[in-house]
Amino acid sequence: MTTLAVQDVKKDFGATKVLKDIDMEIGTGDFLVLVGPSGCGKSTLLNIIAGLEKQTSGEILIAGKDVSHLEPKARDIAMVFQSYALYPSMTVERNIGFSLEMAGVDKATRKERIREVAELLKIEELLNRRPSQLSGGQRQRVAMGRALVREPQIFLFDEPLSNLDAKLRVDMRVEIKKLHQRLGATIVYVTHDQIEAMTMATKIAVMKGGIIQQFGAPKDIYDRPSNTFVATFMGSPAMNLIAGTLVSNGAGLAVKAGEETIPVPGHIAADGLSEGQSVQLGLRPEAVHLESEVAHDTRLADGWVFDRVIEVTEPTGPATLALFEMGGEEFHASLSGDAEVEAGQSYRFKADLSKALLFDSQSGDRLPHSDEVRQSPKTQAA
Amino acid sequence: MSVAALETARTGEPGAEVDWGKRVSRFAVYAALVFMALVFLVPLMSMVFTSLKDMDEIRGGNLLAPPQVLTFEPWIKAWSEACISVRCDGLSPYFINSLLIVVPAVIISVGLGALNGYVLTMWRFPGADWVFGALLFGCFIPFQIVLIPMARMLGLMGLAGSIPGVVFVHVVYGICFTTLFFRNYYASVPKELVKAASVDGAGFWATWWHILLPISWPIITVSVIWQFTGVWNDFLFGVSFAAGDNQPVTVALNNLVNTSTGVKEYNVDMAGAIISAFPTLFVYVVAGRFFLRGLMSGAVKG
Repeated sequence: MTTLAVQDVKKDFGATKVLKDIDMEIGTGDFLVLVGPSGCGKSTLLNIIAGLEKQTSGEILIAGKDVSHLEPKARDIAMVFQSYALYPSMTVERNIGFSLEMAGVDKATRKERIREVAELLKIEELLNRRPSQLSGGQRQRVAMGRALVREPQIFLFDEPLSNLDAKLRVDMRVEIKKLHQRLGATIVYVTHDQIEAMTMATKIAVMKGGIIQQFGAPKDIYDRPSNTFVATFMGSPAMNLIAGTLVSNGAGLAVKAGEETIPVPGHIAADGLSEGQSVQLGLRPEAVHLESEVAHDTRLADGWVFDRVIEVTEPTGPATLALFEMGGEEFHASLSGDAEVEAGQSYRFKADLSKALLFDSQSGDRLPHSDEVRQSPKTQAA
Repeated sequence: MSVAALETARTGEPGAEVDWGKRVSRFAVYAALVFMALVFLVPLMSMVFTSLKDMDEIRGGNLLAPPQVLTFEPWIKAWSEACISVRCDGLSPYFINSLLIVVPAVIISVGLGALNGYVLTMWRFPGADWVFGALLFGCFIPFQIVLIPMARMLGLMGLAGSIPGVVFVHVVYGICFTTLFFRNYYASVPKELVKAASVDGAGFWATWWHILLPISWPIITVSVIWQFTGVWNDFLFGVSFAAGDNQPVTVALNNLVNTSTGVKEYNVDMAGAIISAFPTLFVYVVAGRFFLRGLMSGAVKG
């Protein structure tokens, strides 16, 4: 069932077009993450869904009902803000119950609902405190309690974890995900952090310049980004892009980048490709290995082998990041944590091309895989 | 070498010199403070002493000497017996007039200022900055300029010479300042609070009443002190717009002191002046403490 539908929503601030034709739908229980760099319009979109800002044109439907022109309180939503926006003069209890108080719910029912929510979030002992007496994590919980108590159709989260320290952020991330699984709630969550997006979402909308660049499941977004922006925005370190031209290489085509010749992998549809076309080959850092470590791995038998001098190494523990130069650009490789590499030394690398992607240099769009071409030749246009 | 010399100097005399320096400067600071406090307190002391003496002692004695024989007669006279123009009821009826002016004038101007500040920060409308600019401009209009147009206005409104007329004038003048205070205070309140309230179902008034006013105590206190002292101490509007029995205590005090017939009763004048000044002192002492408390709680919140 569709819980939220955004139809042709546009938003202009004077001459500035902040949102251009936003269209999307999510079902009950979906966890949609709107992700993108700052200024991409994701918070504006969330505010429009909440009714805190007015769209220039277009409709918002919640549970099938057109709420485009309703006040926030009439939309059956609840929102958690970046600064938590707890009411400073009220106790935690009154903060959580304030929406019920405004709705005229009687005191006994209010108390009961507050107690249930407090139990769920394990904040019973904080009910009589004021926001100024709480730690960051506790404030975060109270803010969530304030949303939960209303039992809305949709929860809206506006970068709720960005004010927490790194450790707490990871904890709360898991906690929100648990809550989502337990309650089966529908959530729209705004963040600029692609890790939050990947870890929590069931659906991701990657935004830039007021346009949804790609809408899909996290795995699709990661494995089959629709253009170079999505490819490099999602994933850390970012995907490597190797610029080159297509040349014929025996039976098939290859990307010629400087002195390197990289065969175009078989999963990319050959139909649309032509010799001389300028393309970018996308390769995730984790697809690159030390040749010595994968010499006997048969799955990588037809990988691309090359030699490079490492400029910088960054051991992170589970992985060792190596930085070198490729066609005038920086290239990141995520090697195994045990890889014994040193800066200034030359090594032989082997890249797994089974997940390599090809982008058109002009448009930045990804060139289709052969399975996509057969099913629907128009997919890439969307 | 100089470093070594410094080192010996420091170790040779273990801190004694530094300590003395500190003490001397500390003493100088306190001496200056005491001196300045005296400069301000001596006139007040002289007033209190004079108000507690009888006329014979005043004529024969020192201005700064404490009273030989305590008498509260001048206070009673100033409060309820002294003749001001043709009435001989002392300052008390005018004191009450002042209260009748100051209480509504302060409540209304602070209330409207809070509301203006709230609208100008949280419910911004096209041209809000112009409205604020115009209000700000009002802070710089000298009282004297508006006397004649205001008199005409009050006449048209049927409020000429009345207490509500004086209240009206003070409210109109006061909202410029109170709006400025509240707008600047609310500008530091996160907008997300109002958004959250709006999602929670609180409307315009509920948001103001439940969310913003309860955190406005520091600025309410500032505005009340400002308005109270301004309105209570006002002489010009009182003398211009309040007629006869409606005059505030400042005007009555002037009339009492400047009476040109009979003996000049300094003790009664002094008692009257202290009575007239008392409410503003009271507000400073009482509200000032709340004011500090408000500031402190904000500081600790971090």
